[in-house]
Amino acid sequence: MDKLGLLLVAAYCAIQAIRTTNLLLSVLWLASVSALTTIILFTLDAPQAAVIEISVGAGLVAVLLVFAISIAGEETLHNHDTLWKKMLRRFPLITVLFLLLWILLPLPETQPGAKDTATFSTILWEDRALDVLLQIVIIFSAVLSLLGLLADQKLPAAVQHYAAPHPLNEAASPTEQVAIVDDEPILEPERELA
Amino acid sequence: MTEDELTLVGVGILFGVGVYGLLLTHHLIKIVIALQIIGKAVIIAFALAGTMSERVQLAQSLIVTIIVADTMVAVISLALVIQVKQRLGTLDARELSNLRR
Repeated sequence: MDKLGLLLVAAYCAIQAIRTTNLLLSVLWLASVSALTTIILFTLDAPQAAVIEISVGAGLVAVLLVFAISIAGEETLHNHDTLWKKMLRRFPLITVLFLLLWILLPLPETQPGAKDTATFSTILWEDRALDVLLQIVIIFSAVLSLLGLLADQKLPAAVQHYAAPHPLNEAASPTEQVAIVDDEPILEPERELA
Repeated sequence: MTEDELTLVGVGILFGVGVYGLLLTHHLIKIVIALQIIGKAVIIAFALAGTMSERVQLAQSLIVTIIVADTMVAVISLALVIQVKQRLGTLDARELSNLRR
């Protein structure tokens, strides 16, 4: 029962992380979900996984999110209230249906089967050595792609045309801008195609 | 209902909150946060499955794999979000489409 209570608190924190408009607060709510996940993992006799979860989930990911927010800036989005209301009306119904389905369809009896005889490190480094190797490959490829994505590279010409503002529109004053536009009418590429 | 089944209901609720956020929000950073919430629900489900089948050590090694994959997804997604913000000046997923509606 204590695990269910912890999970409900974690679900509340998750809802707050999604609903709050302040992104930094959202990251803090996510870190609290991670901390609660760690406590639940401890109660489920998985201490090694719990330690990795608290260090990566509440530490590394939270720092990365704050880093991304500091670069990208806090931008609050509006005008999706109608969708919010629509989904909020249906959410309790979906939850109740899910719970009913769960009660009607009980879990199959778990077979005791082969129990763990090896330790965590034996399973991780010997039985699942290939998985560990793949994880290392994933980490390296992620680091390489991160460096590639964050590098200050020159944009391709086609992307530059759409991403950057038009040089003629960067005039010092509105009058100059109008004069330039009057001298030489600019056709937008979409209109030419149409 | 046994305690394990009740815990699994809680895992389902946490997973549902993550999917709810994923469907609902258009903010790119919030989408990454919703993905993280789904990942945490899956981690608890694996630990619970390990406890129920009395193979906790195997479950722990699988959880480590999930944490690594989930973190790498977050890293790449956040790098893409930063690129989108710098090139297009928005964090709204609805404004990324170039197709005419």
